[in-house]
Amino acid sequence: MKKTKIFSVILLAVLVAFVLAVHGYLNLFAPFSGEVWKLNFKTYKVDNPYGKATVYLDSYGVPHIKADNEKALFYTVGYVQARDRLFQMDLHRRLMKGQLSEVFGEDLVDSDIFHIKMDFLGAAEASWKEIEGTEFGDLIEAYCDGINAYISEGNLPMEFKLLGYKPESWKPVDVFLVDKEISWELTGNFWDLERAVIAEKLPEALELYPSYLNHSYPIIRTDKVSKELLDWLKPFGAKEGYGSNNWIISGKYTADGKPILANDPHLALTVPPVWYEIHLITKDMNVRGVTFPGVPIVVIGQNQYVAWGFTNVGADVIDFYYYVTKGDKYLYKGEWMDFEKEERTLKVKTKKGLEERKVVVKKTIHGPIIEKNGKEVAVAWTGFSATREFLALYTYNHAKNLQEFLEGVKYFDVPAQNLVYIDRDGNIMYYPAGRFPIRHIGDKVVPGNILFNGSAGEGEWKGFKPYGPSTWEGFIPFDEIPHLINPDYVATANQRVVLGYQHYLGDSGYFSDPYRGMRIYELIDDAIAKGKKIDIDYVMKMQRDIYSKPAEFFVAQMDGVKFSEKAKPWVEELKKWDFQMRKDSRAALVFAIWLKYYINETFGDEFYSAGLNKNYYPKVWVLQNLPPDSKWFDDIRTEKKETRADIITRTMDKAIEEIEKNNYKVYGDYNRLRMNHPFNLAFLNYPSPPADGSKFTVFNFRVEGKPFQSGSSWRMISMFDKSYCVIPGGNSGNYFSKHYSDQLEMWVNGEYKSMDFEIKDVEEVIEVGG
Amino acid sequence: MKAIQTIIGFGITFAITYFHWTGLIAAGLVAAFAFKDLKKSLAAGFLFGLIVWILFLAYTVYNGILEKYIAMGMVFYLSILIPLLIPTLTASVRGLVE
Repeated sequence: MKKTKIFSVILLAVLVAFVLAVHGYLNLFAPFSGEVWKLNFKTYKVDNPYGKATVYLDSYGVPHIKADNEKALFYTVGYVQARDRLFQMDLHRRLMKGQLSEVFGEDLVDSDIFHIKMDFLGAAEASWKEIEGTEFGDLIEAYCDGINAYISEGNLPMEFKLLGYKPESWKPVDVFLVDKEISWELTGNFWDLERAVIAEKLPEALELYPSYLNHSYPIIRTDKVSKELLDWLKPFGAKEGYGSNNWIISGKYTADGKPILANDPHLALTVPPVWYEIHLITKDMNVRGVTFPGVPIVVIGQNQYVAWGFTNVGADVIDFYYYVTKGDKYLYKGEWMDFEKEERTLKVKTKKGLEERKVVVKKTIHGPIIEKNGKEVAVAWTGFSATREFLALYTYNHAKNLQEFLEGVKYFDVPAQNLVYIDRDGNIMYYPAGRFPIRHIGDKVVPGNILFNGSAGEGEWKGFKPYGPSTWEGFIPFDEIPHLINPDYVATANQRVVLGYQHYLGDSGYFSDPYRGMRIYELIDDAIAKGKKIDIDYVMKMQRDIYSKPAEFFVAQMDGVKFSEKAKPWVEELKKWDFQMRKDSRAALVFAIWLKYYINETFGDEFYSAGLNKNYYPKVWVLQNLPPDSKWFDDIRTEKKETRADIITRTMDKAIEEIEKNNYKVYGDYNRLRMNHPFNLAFLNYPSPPADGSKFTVFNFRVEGKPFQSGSSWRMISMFDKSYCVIPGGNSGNYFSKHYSDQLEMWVNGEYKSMDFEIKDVEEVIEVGG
Repeated sequence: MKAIQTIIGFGITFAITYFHWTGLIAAGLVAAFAFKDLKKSLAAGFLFGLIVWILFLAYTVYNGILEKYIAMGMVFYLSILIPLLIPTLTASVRGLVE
């Protein structure tokens, strides 16, 4: 054979090998024809069966939608949300339906089993049934039609192409799944179970979890559980580190005599962001703010008459029940009842292809059963019922005054939220909106932080029906929920709602440390005490505030403590520090790392010896208030009796070791943003700049969150025509869009963009129908 | 005449490439049969691939995604390798028929 032929055969063999090796990628990445290069963010005309709507996309990719009627509007919202966030929407739908392992494989089987067993789908169906056939239900259907119109165009986001699947069509129940997800993430708290485990493993530690944290900054100033079960459940419960700030200031204290509202909910910092900004206009409504992708109405925002915002109340709206059981039956008030059982199919992507597995959904009269290794409890959660919070939000979107708005508040069932409100008439209001159960054992009213004997009918919620409509008569009546109409000002930051309230709302395990709430009140009090009239600039300064109240308290406790030679220069930095958690600060660096060790060294010896990890540690406020000779400072592993001073000294050395080991120079080396796309591909992840702030500062950023960091997921300051906002990232989830992360830098720097009602800086127009 | 046929051939295969990567193979075959010398065929295949990639680069510039395209790491490199390698290697068919 001639040399040329041999050479050609070799080259052709290389060609075959190359094509075989990259075959899966050719359809995706070949220039021009590759699926990922089919850009889906430019659309100009779309049909609309409900009428005419026009979408004006501004210089931040925010859709301002003007429509002839509401159905045409909702249809268009569905279309543009799908265009910008369809993969994210489908991911959340899959999470709640227990379908993630079908596309991501074995690693997510536990998550799917949990979500199937909890039957969130059943709860979403119950909520949809309440709305179906109503005027609002028709709008939800129009919204789904809009999403499906986008899906049927076939120009799917890159992620679907990379995973090789197409989303199913959108159904109204899917809209309610998003509602259930948000509600669960904010209120699906396993603290009652954790408390039970602590009571069993380390009973003396219960003193660290008082009924309430003893601070004076409330919002309103006046062996049944196995640890294995809990460890399994923990990743699926309310997310650690979620919290929020909001405050309202009446016109009495503002520069132009009109009220101001500020809100920044602290949620997971995800790619794309959890929120989607939108502006909706019909002849009856002009509302702007943010919603969750998959929800067609504004969740936090303002219309031309009213503005509103939320923080999580953190109230106890979940209970757990154990039973006497016999085979497939459980005892309930002297009667043997059958567990309600239903078999569901879980599809799992494996190396051998799609595998089908059976999951049994098991329920009692109280709710679904969750189990692990033979230990099982039933869960009652307000969100399992048919709930109407979307109707509440729809009412807020349309409200023209306080009276109309309050009608909507009555519909807000779950998740219980600290709702703040201002209007053009000058009214301001605070209302913890939601359903708060009252529990009884016999005739006695009891708190809900214990496990209840379900067989004896203890702690039941009167009027509550899981997976069906509830009458709610055993809950705190709406008028009795502690609220304020036209106070001077109110600040909420997930702290205890009120002191000395007749009903139980939750114990210290439910409410946050008071530091943020304390700081916000201080800033307002301070301005008022100095006679300063509060304006937008001052409120922006408040939202950017990085003063650490824990630093103020803990550094004071370092007085008189003897430190090692190595630690002394760092301690000197701390003593002259202004307690600002600035990214260029050395003191902030050493404080943040020291606090982490200080908490661990104080409680770790007792807790880990009892088989309890750091997730069980008490609040920082509790640690701060322990006396210097508290037994919790003693390290039970040594013969010496340690005091607070000993632990402070020891942990300062450990903090410095960590700083040196990692070669940190300033706080920003440690406090870096890490916002990763679900695929964790470098190009899809956001940049990772150093950041100001901490979990305890008003300007909120929680570097150690897992799997996601968390922080201010939306900053909004509302004064109607002078309103400002920013999201951590961009409005589009499409990598190739210039709005993929165009607000990130502004967000990191505490800057804002305008959020008024004017449509300006239009970059693209889409005609939808007409 | 042959030159015109070759240009038309590459034009058609570029059109195919726009819709499917097999157009790159077709272009390699055009290169193989348009020239009687293996080296020239390989060079023509490579040149075709290079032009495809340069046009694609222009496409990313036009759509304002050049920076994002370059930031894609492995995907970026793969999208260069595909048009350069496939027509070049396919053009080696020339060596079998010489």
